[in-house]
Amino acid sequence: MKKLSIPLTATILLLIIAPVYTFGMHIMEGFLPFEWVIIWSILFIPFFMLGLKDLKKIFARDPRQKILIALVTAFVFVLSALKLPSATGSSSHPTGVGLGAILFGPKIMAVIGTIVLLFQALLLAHGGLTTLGANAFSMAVVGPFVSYTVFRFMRKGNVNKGLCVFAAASLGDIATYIVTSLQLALAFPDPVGGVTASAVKFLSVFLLTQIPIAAAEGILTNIVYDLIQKNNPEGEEAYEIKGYK
Amino acid sequence: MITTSELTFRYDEGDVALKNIQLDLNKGNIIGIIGVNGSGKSTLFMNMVGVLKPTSGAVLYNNEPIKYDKKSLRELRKKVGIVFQDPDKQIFYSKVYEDVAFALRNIGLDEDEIKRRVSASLKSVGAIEFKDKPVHFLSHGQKKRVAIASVLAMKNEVILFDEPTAGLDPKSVKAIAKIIVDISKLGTKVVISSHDMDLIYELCDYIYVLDKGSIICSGKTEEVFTEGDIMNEVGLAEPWLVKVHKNMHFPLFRKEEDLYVYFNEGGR
Amino acid sequence: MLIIDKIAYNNRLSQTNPYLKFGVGFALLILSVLWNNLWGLGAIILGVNSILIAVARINKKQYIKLLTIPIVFILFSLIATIFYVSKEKSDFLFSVGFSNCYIGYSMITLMRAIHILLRSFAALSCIYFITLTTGFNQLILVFKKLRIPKEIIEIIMLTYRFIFIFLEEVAELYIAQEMRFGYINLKTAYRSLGILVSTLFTRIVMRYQDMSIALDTKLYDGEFYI
Repeated sequence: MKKLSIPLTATILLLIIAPVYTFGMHIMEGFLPFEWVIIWSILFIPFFMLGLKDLKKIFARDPRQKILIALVTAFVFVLSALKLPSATGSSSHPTGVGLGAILFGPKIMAVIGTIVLLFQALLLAHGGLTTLGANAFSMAVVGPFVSYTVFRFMRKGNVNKGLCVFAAASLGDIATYIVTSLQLALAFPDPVGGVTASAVKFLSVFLLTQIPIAAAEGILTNIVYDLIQKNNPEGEEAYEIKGYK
Repeated sequence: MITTSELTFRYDEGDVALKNIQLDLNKGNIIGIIGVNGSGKSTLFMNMVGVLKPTSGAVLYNNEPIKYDKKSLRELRKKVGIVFQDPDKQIFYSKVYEDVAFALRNIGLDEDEIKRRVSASLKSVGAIEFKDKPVHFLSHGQKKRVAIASVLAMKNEVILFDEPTAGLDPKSVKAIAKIIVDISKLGTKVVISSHDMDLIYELCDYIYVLDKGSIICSGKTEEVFTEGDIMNEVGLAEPWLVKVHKNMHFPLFRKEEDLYVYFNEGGR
Repeated sequence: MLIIDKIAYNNRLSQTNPYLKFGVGFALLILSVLWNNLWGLGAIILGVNSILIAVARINKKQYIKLLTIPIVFILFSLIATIFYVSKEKSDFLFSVGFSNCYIGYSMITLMRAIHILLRSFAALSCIYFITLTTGFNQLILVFKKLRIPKEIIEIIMLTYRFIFIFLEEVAELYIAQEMRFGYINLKTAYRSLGILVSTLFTRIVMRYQDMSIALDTKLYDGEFYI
């Protein structure tokens, strides 16, 4: 048996698998086995309910903000339908939640992100209902939480704002990829190496293919955030959900 | 009926948008408010429905100054409706029936009455065929009809139309014009703001001309449009029937059919 | 752009009872995920797709196109689940050797992959059964029956309405930019996309203000009745 070099094999594997992950980090309908469908559906619910509680408070104070939340949700959906061009010619979709997390915080993004995932599953056949829990956990809970935390933390450290936004958005994406890799590893452990080996396997493939995409979304988010600031000189507080935070 | 008394309005940091407006909707059945962009038409409309509060002066309904507490505004808006220029900004439901019923449900009418009113208003704007269609499948003209229907269903005493025919094809313009005439025939007061001078000339019986926030001219339609060179001074076009009258020394006709009869029967 | 939405309102089953459609579709969806029997999964695939093509009369060409992307996606995802690392060459049906280990696939992972493939295909068919025959407006009725929190349903309903407005705006902005060479190279593409997105966002703020006014003139009292 010929012994191929690692780099070559890795490249071949990547070229085979890479096109896959241009469709975002959604786990497709029916991909996860039943136990994990249940587990992730249960795990994401508390976070969703936390966000819902916040929303109910906001709406009680000003019911017109239902319109604003819906506008933001539609915005994130449309954002995730855009194609990010890349140097290799293939394209990918932003997750859209990075910008949302920075502007609106992670709790309501849990709700907004989940609703976006629902629309993606029903209108685009992207992701699924059985995998809604899993996808919501990675994309609507962990991702926004990381984006928000990184952003706030770096801002407190007085880091340059552009860098904060870039880091927040890309690290949020990377956190999402990590969670998705772990979800897949847990559901499909290696016969020999078990969950650990499987996790390493998925992580290495994902991270290698997704880091450029995460960086791309980071760059885009930064450009957008910067322009939003320029167009709304009252500052970011002007369009933060009133009464929230 | 709406009147204003020395209505002056100024935005927070800006210049005075409306200066000493004296408006009286009793003067006509279909009232036109014309002026170039920025002359204050939209600001005036916003004052008339209580969205904006005058800096000085007042807006009066049946000679009572309107009050700005929530309850009074609700009562005012039951009587005064407004159809905005962009239908996408006032259609919230994706099902036509639901959107037209929206305001009626907010008022608290019972479902049978709502059904009756929705059907009636959809019929009168010619939108009954697509009452179950999702809104995003409709054309701009069809959406505009739905927007009008949802205000019609409220059975207001006054309806304000902000650029009712902007962006519509000629056939749709005719259709909307007919709808407006029908609404007026039912006794509803209509106020139109538009750049379409031919439409204004055709529909309105009383006109207010706004320029830089002030009313520089008002009166019956024929009088206003033949008043010196007002239209050109404020930067507006003249209705073509007026131009024919002025430049070809024909009598002033309100309807183009009358002009054709006159011309073809050799009256010169 | 949203083909699924268009088809949902234009097929032979679009007027059928939405609770029935969703009930059947969702039950079969759960069954697809629960049932380990490969023949059973095959039956679901055949059955559901037959209904879609024969009863709902979904356009075959369109449907195949709709199936292709997810299935290709699934196939590629499966590759990662098939291959694994072991020190023993004997584990594998096929393997490639490295300095101290082997990467390959075995009967175990192969069978697992086939199961996943059938399960995903079955689940995908079920989800398409629901989404291609049931317009979103009907689905909202189903959400109400499912006792999903009222505020969530209101947001879902409004979001559905707004998505189409934004898609139109994005299309207009994109074409306008393209006409002015906004996407000729990578750098300009990112800059143009950034402008597009931020413009869309700024319009949200303005749109919200205008819509709030419209709500007031329609005597909005806090409830969206569904």
